[in-house]
Amino acid sequence: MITRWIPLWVIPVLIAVAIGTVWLRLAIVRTSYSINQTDKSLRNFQHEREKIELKLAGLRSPRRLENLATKKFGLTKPRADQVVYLK
Amino acid sequence: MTSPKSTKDPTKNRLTSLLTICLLFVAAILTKAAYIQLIGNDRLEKLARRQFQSKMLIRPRRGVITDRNGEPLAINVETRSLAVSPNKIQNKRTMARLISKATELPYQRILEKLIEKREFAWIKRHVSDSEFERYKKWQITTKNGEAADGILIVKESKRIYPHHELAAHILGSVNVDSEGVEGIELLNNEKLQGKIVSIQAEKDAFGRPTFIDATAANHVRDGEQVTLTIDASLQFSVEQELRNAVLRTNARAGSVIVMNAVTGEILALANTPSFDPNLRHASASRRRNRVITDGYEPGSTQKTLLLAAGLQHGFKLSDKVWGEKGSFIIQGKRISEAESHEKFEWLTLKKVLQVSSNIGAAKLAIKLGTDRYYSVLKTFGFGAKTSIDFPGEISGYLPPKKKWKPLSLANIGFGQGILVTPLQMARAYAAIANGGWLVRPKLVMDSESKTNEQPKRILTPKTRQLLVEALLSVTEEGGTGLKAKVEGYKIAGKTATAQVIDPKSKKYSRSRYIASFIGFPVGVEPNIVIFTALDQPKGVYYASETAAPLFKAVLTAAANRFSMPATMAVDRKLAEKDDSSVISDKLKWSLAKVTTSEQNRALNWVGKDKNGSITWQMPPLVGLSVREAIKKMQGHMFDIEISGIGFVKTQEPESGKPIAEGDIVRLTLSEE
Repeated sequence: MITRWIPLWVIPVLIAVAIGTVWLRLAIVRTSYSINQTDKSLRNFQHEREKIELKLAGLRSPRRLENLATKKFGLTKPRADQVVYLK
Repeated sequence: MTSPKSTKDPTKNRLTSLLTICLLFVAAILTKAAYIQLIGNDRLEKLARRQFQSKMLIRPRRGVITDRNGEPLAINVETRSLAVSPNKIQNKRTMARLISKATELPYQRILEKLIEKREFAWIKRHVSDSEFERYKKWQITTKNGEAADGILIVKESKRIYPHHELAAHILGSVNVDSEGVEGIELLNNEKLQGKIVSIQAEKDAFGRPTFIDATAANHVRDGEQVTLTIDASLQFSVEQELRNAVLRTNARAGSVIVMNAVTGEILALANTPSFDPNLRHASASRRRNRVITDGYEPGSTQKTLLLAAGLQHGFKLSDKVWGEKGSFIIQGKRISEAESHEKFEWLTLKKVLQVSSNIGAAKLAIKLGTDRYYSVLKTFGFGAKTSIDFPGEISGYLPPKKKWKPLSLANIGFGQGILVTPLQMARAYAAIANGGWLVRPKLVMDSESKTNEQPKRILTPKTRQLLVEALLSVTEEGGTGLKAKVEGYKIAGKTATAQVIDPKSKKYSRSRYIASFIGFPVGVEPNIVIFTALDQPKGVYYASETAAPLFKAVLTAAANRFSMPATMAVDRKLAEKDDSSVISDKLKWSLAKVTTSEQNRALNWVGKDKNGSITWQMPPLVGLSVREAIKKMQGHMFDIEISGIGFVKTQEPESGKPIAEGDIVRLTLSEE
């Protein structure tokens, strides 16, 4: 009786559209989670990088290098006559 | 016979009525639902949005501050802060006690925060890792680091200055919210801070964001990097030398500026006492960038600018003034020389500068007159800010012209009765060093001044040349700046031992001085000017004994850092004296000294060739190592071409042949 008003093929189309919409919505949610996760990883990497930069800056600190040079390697500041400029 | 109505089942009727009521009720709900869905309701829409949408404030990363070579001076690290959501905490007293134990903050203060009817309250910002570990013990967080109910662990960015005190006065500092409050952090706050953006995000049932407003998120802009003009390595050396000088002279404070005289870029700027911007409780006196925010009476370094005014208005270096034999009365006040034994008679203007005669300067100022001297001081930029745009910069004080009486004119002639900043003085001397141009000092690379000020010529080339000649005499025998001299360089500069006003008596103190030296090496690249000052040195307080040696130490550091080749042939007498490997403080000379142990190998002066170039006799270099050979030829403008490795096998020109400055020396070494 229902087929009197709606053609039969419309029903599977409607079902397919409904499933498709739900699937699409789920895919979007999944992708969003994935983006958020990647974003979080990115932030973590950035923070790791910041930590490493801090460590590097500490290692390159002129005070540390001077301490190392004088105390560990026994170096002294060059006497004026030891400085040679090539050009 | 019974009627059909009487045969109707009453239960059925009741059920029908009930069903009808239910249907009507369902219909009403559906109608309302349809109404809400189709027509809408603002209040419900807001409620729903609040349930599944959230506002996120995305705070960008603060820009990094680096030195001119990219060395990071201010960076960020992630840190954790402790906050609470008071509404979600059940047992407030117990929780306050636990937090107090874990954070070592007063119990009462925490309890006050917990009993407030608020969604959010900070407890402690930027918690260290070791302290965070302690939170587990007091059950503020679980073993996995997750917060207890009502407790929030907020991840934040914290500003770190990895080199601690290095360039602290330039960098300034930030507050707990990473907003600049001092120095470059404040000056460039907008640029460093980036753009904070508030974006909408949809949440899922667990409160996790699902859909983020991508367009808005794209507008989040991290803070930009700020590159300073300073050189971190030189800055470190300068700070160290300044600290040593302050300790040695027992001074109250000290300052140094190293500035590129041509570009106005400040290569190093140091103040002592200093502070660590990572710590928040340094006193204001330690934090002050004295070279920009403090004024002082310059004393004798002002005489150079007086001489500049004189030369600009037709005076000559050979013009003479009568030295009054050490005592000159003007408007009933006596002007004397710095030393009572100095009883000068006739002095040329050059000599006035060389011996730093107060009376000579006073007389020149009077001869020059208020109008001419005042206008030259204005062109040097005194009484106005330098456009460095640094927070807290002062203009100094140049008294209005109408207040200049003969006595004040004489006083300003030798640097009293005028207030200047060290930066203004460095800039004025930079104009002499760079050929007569007044430049804008810069601390940030590629920075544009608010006033867009362009360099302007304030001295004629002739005046500049005469000034340099006079300033060179200050560091020569008989001058006050002998100890500023670095062997191998021509140093133009001026000492000043300026009296300080005693705040109690309001008179010039006889025991408190500011010793300063401003100068520059002549004819070297980069063209730098150096200002050194020591505030109230004890014992031997003269600038010639305090600020001048500091200048020498700073110039030596700069020469090493920038590989500034010496411009002068080395004083051979000095070289011969130096036969030891240990160089005494007195004879800590020469960046380009010739070793004299082998006299016959030394470079001998011959004379001048037809073009006027200085000619030398080529020394024998065969058999020497490259280093030794270069050392022999150093301090001159020879182009040295080397091929191979090992020891010198052949040389061109040959030993004993003449060689002029600018000629090519070819050395072939023993191994290809």
